[in-house]
Amino acid sequence: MKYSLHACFLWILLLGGLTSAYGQEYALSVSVTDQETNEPLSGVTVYITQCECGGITNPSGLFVKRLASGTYDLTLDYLGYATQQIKVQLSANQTVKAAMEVVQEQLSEVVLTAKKRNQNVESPQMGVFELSSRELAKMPAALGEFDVLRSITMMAGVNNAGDISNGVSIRGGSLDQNLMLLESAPVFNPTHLFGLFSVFTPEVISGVDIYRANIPAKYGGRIASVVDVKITNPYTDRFKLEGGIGLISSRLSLTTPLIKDKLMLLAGGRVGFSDLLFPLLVPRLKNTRANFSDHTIKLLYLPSADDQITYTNFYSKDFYQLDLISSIENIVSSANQYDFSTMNHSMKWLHTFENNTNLTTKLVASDYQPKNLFPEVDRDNVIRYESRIRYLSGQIEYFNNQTSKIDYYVGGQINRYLIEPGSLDPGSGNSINPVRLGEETGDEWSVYGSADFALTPKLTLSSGFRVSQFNLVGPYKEALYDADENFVNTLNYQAREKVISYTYPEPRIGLNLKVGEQASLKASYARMYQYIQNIYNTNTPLPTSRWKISDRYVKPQQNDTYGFGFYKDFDDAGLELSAETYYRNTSNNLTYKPGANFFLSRAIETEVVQADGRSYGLEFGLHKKTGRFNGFLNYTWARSLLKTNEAAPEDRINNNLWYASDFDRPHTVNATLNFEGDLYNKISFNFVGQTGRPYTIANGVYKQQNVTIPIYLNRNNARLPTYHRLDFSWTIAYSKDPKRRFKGDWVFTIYNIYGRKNPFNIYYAQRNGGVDGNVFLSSPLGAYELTALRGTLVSLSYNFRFQ
Amino acid sequence: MQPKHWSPLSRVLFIALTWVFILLNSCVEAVPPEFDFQDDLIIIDALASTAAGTSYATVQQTSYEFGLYRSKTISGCTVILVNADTQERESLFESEGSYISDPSFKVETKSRWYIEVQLPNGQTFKSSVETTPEEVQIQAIKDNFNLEMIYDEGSEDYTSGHEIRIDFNDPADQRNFFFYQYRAYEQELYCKLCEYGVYRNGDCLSQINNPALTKEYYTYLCDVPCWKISYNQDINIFSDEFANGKTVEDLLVANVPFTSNQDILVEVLQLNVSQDAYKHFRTIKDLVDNNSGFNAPLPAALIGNFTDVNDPEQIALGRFTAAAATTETLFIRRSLRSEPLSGDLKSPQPEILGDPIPQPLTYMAPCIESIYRTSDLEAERLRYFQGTSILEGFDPTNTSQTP
Repeated sequence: MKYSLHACFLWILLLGGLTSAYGQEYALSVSVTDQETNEPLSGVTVYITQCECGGITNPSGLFVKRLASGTYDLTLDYLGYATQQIKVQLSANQTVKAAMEVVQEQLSEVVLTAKKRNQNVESPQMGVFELSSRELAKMPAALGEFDVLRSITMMAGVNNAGDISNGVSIRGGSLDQNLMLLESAPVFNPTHLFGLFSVFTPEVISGVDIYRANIPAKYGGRIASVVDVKITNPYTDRFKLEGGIGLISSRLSLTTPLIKDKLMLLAGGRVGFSDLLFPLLVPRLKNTRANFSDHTIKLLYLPSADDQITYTNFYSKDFYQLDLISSIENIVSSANQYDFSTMNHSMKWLHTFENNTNLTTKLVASDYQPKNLFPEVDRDNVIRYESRIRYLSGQIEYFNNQTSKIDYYVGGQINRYLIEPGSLDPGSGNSINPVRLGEETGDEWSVYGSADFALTPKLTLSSGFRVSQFNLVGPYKEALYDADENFVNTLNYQAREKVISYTYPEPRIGLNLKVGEQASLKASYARMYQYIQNIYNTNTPLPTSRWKISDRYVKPQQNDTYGFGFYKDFDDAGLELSAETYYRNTSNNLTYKPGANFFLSRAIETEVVQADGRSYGLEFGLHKKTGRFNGFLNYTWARSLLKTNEAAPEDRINNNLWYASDFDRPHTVNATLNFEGDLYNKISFNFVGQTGRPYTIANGVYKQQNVTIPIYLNRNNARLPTYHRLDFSWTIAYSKDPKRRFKGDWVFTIYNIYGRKNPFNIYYAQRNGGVDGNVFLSSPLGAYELTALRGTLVSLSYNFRFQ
Repeated sequence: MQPKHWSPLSRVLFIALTWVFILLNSCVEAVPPEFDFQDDLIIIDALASTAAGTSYATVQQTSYEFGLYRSKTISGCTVILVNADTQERESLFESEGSYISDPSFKVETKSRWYIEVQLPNGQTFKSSVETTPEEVQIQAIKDNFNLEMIYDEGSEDYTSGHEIRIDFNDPADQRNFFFYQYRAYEQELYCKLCEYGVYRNGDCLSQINNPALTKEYYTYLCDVPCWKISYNQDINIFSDEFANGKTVEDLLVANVPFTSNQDILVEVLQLNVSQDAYKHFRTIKDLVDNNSGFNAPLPAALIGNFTDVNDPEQIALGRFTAAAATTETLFIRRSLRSEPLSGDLKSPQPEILGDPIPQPLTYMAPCIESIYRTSDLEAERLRYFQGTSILEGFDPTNTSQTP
């Protein structure tokens, strides 16, 4: 630990030295306002041609860059405004004012930012996607709503467990290996309806950033990726209302100033009632009830020109009733009621200093409470299973991009995890005993820094470093085992007493070598650690699946990612070409032992195995951002493998040989084609095709009395049929007058146009006389293919905006 | 497309309209089963029980023959139960595909046993030592008819039937784990059913190439009183993990499908087993009963407690379990029920004069003894059927009569 901290501080000092080593420069300030309202515009992209650099205006509409004296050409871009070109002669500190003209109906919604235009080639960052809400909205989605998680599965290297998936897998990692953030607060259960929709309120999202390679040093705690969902800053002087009503869900959001130029509000919500739908779709689901809601509230307070304070509240709630799918012995109940909620609070204070460096302070709280309720038959009593994750975090970060040569930031973060693994409350009943598993408390301390600077005119380095320390602290009961893994004793730790501590350095490096004007080669390396994991032995976790922080037996997961890529822009054609290859070497991946049962297990360490993992792949991407025809085409070849190293034969998975993980998809093709023919019509197609998910088929059968039992020796020894589908979306804007306050559009979507039956799983069943005998023939067992969405989903929606 | 004009009123409505046309078929479809079949896997399933004559072992081997996946019984094995403390050895004898104990043999509670199985090729497997738990008595047994007892994927409908439930007092001073089996007796309707054929000389004689044949099948009554024996088709287990010391009420231990109107005698066997055995049976339950949903547990290997005495890396699948057994019996008058039957019940269709089939006409077939059929029902069981329509005018001591 000492060595790592010293290295980190030396590195931070080095950054300071680099910053001051450069010569005389002047501050070029650009102040951008709306031409009509004269209000400052935040988020305007400023691109400086000569240095091929740029940035984005802050909430006060200001952008500042230190540059050597000279003449500079500035390009100002902002969605809904005409692009401006400005020439500046810089010989002293100087402020340039720009008033941007509103353009109501742009033909293409894809607006390139200056930094983004060149990011593909210029930045040493690899494996990053930045999707704006406009881009998300263009992707055809089931039932007429855009969905963050479904949309990002269109990106290279991102997939899921099928049509129902409680999260996404990125570069072969498991679902819990992605840090899913909403305004810096972690979201532990990101979906409604067991994975059909993501929880993020659609109308309020400004964009999603996904990092999968040299993840910036400011992020830590998960080993595969960071999915950072951002909420729109409600910087406005006018009232705006958006929404829609649908069969599955209804949405409404508003943006309004509360105190002019000081306090603004964004509030969005969604409710879904599907009680009537399930019995219509599937008779078996006649007792199913599914209601959900979510809301996001964001307050923006501007106490001074240099300060911006935001508070974001996110709440997600689900209540489902299903026929009994998981029972607890001696509870006589005919149904499971799932009741789970997430309540997140994020407070962020951004202070900009006079030299335009800034300091960001964040306070975050996240509270996830899943419950499983069992109403007892013939009794007025409900038995409750509950668990809870509370997360508290404080973070401070100093950012400096004063010079044209170097951008850097340094910061620190403290996280606390409080996990209540589970309790069982019999209520007024007497059929079971109450159970309460001991709490787990973990503290994660991190310091980090990162700098982007040019080593030579052609070679740019992004150098990041993070040191994290994780402490499992009391009160805690730790089981002790002998050499043969037999339980010996329990050790009790007092409050705040340290149980075990892990300290790890996490370097993050990216290199960019420009080869010609519009092409570059990049290389990256990142190491990450993960101290919290979701434990389950199903295809996709239930909302109530258990979370576990690292302890003496469940070691932190480790990941080393190596990347290499080639990037080429064809500006004339508006094309971006990328080819990335990666290799991920992981250890301590969690997988379940044969016959594991995690429900209220007091010795969960005896039910899991930690496996080595390796994932590698090649990702090709072609992205056309402009023109009437735009879109992207991605192809990925990838593998994701696991291997246990267990001594006992009964604990080995596939006899300790490498085997395909649940997220191994050798071939994936994703494509989106948008045709924006005129002001009123936009047509999009999505295509998704990928190798089927690995699943397990039997190696034999035997009979025990009248029951035929499948024998499994190897895991994931077969594949489901290839997954593919084509989606279609047609957006019709009916408003001719760009100044109308009420605007709306019709969205007609067809999900899975040709009705491909993509199986979610195939399972065996006992033979029932001659039922399906023409399919099963002489097989000792029958088999059934389970499909989540079999057929075509057609929807016609009307969405509106009033401002 | 020409944009549509809206009234001012509609402009201020923040209502959106969504029509969803969902064209969905069933979510489940039968597909040809796939296997990554491995020949010659050894599976040993063995029980030492406190109920006299119920200890047994089966030794099976996976095989793929003539296009059929199956497991065949290995005969000629030497199977011996061994008391780990006294070294008492009890040999099991081969009988109708199983190895069974002497009818009087039973193990005592708290005694410790293991089993040795030597295959005809000399390969020898030995189980770990199991301690026999204590017996826990069933306090009450009852049945409940449920029209929606089990959902059947094949027919995409519910199977009706009788749910058998029990009550018992779970002992507070020990952890208990139970595995339930049932054995049910009812009158056999037909001793033979020949599809596209007739019963001649002890077997079905195919008539598939007989162009004059109009009937799809013929049924043949039993030539003696014959009893059909059926067993559980699902796995029922119970752990007192959350109910230690509680009174367990209405515990579902058996699902008896309503496939005929014959009265039925159901014997429930409650086996009190070790925690490891319970985990094994729970894994089987996950493989057999809990494997169909979106959140089904993923398959797991059924590695039990057998190892090859000469090569510890070689494992036989299956498990030896020492169990304390208690039984309870329930007689269900299904003949009084008027609900429709579940399953594909074939109505009687005897051969009749004029049918274009080989002569002489045949009406009966023998009741061949097997684990699924007997003509020799013990008097203790037979007495439950006294007074029912089945045995009217029928002397249960004279098995040559037809009821």
